[in-house]
Amino acid sequence: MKRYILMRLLYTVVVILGVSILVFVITHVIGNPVNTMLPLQATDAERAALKHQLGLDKPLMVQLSEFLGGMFRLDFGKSWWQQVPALGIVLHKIPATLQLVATALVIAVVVAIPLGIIAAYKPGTLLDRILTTTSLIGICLPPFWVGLMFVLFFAVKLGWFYTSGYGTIRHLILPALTLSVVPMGHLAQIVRFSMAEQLNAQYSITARAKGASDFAVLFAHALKNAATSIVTMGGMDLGRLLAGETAAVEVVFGWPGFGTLIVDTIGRQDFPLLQAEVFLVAVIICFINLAVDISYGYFDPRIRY
Amino acid sequence: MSPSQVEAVQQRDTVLSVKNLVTHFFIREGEVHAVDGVNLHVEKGETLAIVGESGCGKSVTALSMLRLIASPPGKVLSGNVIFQGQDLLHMKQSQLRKIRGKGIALILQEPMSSLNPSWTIGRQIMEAIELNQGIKGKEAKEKAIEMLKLVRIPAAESRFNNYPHELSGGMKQRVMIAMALACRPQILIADEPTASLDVTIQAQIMELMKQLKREIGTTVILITHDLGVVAEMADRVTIMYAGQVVETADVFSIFHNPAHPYTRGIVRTIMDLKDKNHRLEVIPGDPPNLLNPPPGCRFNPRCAFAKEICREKDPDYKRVKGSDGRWVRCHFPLI
Ligand SMILES: Nc1ncnc2c1ncn2[C@@H]1O[C@H](COP(=O)(O)OP(=O)(O)O)[C@@H](O)[C@H]1O
Ligand code: SF4
Ligand SMILES: [Mg+2]
Repeated sequence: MKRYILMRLLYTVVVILGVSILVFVITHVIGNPVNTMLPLQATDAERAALKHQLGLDKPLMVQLSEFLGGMFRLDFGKSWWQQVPALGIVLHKIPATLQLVATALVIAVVVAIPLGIIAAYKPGTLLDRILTTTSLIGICLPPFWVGLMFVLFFAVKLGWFYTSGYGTIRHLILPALTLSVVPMGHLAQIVRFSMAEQLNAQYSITARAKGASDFAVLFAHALKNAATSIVTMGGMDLGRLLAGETAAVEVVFGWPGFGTLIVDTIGRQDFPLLQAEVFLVAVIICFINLAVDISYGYFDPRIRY
Repeated sequence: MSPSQVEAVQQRDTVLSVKNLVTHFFIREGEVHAVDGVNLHVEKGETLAIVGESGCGKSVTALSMLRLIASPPGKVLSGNVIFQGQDLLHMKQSQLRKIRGKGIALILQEPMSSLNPSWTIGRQIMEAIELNQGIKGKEAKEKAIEMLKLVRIPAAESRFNNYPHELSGGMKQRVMIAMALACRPQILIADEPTASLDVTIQAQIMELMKQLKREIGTTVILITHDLGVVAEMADRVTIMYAGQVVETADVFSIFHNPAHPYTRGIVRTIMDLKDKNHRLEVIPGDPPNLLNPPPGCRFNPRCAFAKEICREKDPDYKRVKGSDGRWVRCHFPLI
């Protein structure tokens, strides 16, 4: 187990390095931050001066090695736009997004898991068919559109929530609800189908034949075996949301989080800030995956590290 | 009554009877007539063998009795399963649960997938004990280890903590037997307990079943397609063909004086083998597709004795006149 985690950490470092280098090279080859930062009428001399100031006139390899050197000290340089250390800006934006994503995931789990279990327990019923269809639709709807609909209905028409902003629970509910739709659909589907599979498995019939209650078969037997699929799906959704998929929803709701920051950063071609963001996303995703993998060992005794 | 007659009456103490059981599966291609009028009964202390080719409805019969058929696609359409004067097919789930295990325990056909992969085998046996013997915790654990020893699993104390994947197929089947017996059942149904094991292990498991039957004396329903096993273990035999019971008789009569042409066909194949007479007389043709069984007697397309009426009218399952508890489903029985 220790050895496994050590290997995984090593692997994480390699992934983060790889992703960072890739993003660095691509942005430096195809990006043109100087044009974005200066007004259109700026002279060539002004452009050259800014390029020199940002260090963009050095050979790419030199820039890359300077960047990597900094990265190992967790120093990504100052944001070109805000003139403060890039990592600090990113870390500062994380809590708002974390709050949003955590709320969304909790909503998704609380709704999808019980419904998925009930649908699997009574397959082919009206409830099952409604659930499988709506969850499929939920997965396909674009979140920004769902967000706009929620705003129109719950905020504008009913006035229950604020249309945008950050701070109170009345700000939080609508964007969290919007973000919860896709993971809710994913989870409902995976719970429905993996639980149905487990309930039809021979061992579930054996358990019933012993006289076990439906409750015990569902929760003590089947759920533990379905858990690996459910946790995998949950981890993927969590990763996707934290990696900036919140952006559209954050913009719609004026939520000052990580997603909004990424959108701004890309628009401004603020390379140091972008690298800090990429770094953090990679770290988060690697750790979510590690946690998911470790949980497999708990749920499924056939998996040992 | 003479003492021997009294004994005969006591032997005829029916503990379970199944009447006109019908279970169909509703699938995209149509309606599978998997079990279509099964009648059988089990007498206290005996071993009843249910015999028939693969796909003739043996497992579906066993699962239907305890209402364990997955629905959809399956549905028990009619019938009665009478146990202790009550109909299992028409009782409340909560009552039925008390009969599953303690009343009737079931060893499923597939030992490989019949154990929960994420529970230790010890915990699974303990669950059976806790549900059916009313004891818990440490005491139940000791009982579970006893059960593992009973089915001759070496190093039972340490095996207790093993997961199913750490056991061989034969060991898993021993665990399944231990778990079923841990329910202290009045009737044990074993569905092809050796079918998926290799030959030497098969012999070991059959030997174990025989020994346990002697030690514990449970009533057993043994489902099999192996007539060798039947000859060795059964007291009475119920023969199934294409979702129906075609004949029931004592084991001697089945082999030496079969009443149904199908029974005669299958016992001939093995009798010929035993006689080293290599003229293997296999019944021509295949069993019918249960999506669309033939009209009349289901065996008629393969039967050497078939006449006009066999293609028109499905024979009733009737007691053979003048016989001692023999039943047959045929217009022209051979006895
Ligand atoms: N879940 C199912 N869906 C459709 N058909 C089934 C299902 N289970 C069993 N059957 C059909 O029922 C018939 C009897 O099956 P079974 O009782 O398993 O036979 P066996 O005598 O080999 O135990 C077979 O024709 C099989 O195809
Ligand atoms: S009823 Fe007719 S076809 Fe069927 S087994 Fe008897 S003789 Fe053969
Ligand atoms: Mg079978």
